[in-house]
Amino acid sequence: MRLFNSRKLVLALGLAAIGVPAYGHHSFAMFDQTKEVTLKALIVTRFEWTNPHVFVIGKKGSAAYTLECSSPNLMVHQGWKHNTITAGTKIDIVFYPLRNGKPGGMLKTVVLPNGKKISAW
Amino acid sequence: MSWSFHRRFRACCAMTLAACALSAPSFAEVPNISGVWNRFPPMPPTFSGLPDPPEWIVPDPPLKEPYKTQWHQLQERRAAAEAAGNPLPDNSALCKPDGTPMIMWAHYALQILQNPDLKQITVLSEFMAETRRIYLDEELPPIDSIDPGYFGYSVARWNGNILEVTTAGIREDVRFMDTPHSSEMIIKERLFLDNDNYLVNEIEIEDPQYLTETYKLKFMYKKEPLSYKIAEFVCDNQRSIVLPDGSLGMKVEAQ
Repeated sequence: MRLFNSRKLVLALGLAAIGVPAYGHHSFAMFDQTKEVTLKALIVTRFEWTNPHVFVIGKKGSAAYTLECSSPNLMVHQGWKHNTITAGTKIDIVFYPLRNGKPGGMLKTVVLPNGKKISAW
Repeated sequence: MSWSFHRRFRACCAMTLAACALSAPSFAEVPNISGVWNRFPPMPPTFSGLPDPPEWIVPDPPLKEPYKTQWHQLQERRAAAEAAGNPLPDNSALCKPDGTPMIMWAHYALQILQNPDLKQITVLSEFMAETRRIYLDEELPPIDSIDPGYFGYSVARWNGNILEVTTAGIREDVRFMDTPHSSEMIIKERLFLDNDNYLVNEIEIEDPQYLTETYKLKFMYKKEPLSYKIAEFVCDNQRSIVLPDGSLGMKVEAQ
């Protein structure tokens, strides 16, 4: 589904109570935005600086997490670069989990090794 | 110089001026709309919880029956799917171009290039790296001679300070906000700078086969500084997938 536009926002008023993303390539309804999951010391295995979305792939224990971010064009304006994180970088993250229970979700914030907190949207 | 020379010279100047007045204005005489433009007012930050600005609200299309009922049913299905966490896909979620007029909705920035040598205005969309070419001072060809496409065929002329654009030849499966249309659809746009130098686009969609009246939209854009760079947008890492139930999901990494 496309971006969140007003019509869909009006039609999906039930979702509006919880931070509905205003920008995005598609609907974010597959993510449970009523829950925020915090993971400490996620080890990045891949940082995909790609369109339509950037993805962080990381490992915590035996689980591989797939975390969707915004698009490069918008993340640049948040201060991101293609090499802000790389394989091996250890980060603390907050994300909205997938509703289907699979390990992943929509990445909200990242705390970099230097302590800087940066939004993924 | 003789008196007759002066008379001939003045007559020649008058004829030249008259010819200029009858011809299309040159690029030097028309407003400069070249540049990078973003929708104004902007959307609130993601996750801010703030509603979209009223300027982004799109009126329901004035569809005839049974299209009107079908359109509302689809919106209800979309809303229910959203609420259930199983959103329905659409073209852009599948990395397909927006097409016209959705490109002008400007999900991300638009770069407009006025090309005097080409007699063309080019619209480059950051989202999906879409390209729309608008040919100046041409007549719109017969619709059935236009090969249908995402962007159709656009012609334009300057009427004073207003760029009047006419487009036809949009593929019938390229839909603005789920709005069905016929191959006869005509899109008319009036682009102009307002008193505060915002670019205004008044859009009128005509399609007697599907619409009870003209479908009117209005978008406004703010010019970005020269330092604003359009990013590459090749849609090649598609992790949005259509699941067996028809809803949109995300492909996760193998465990």
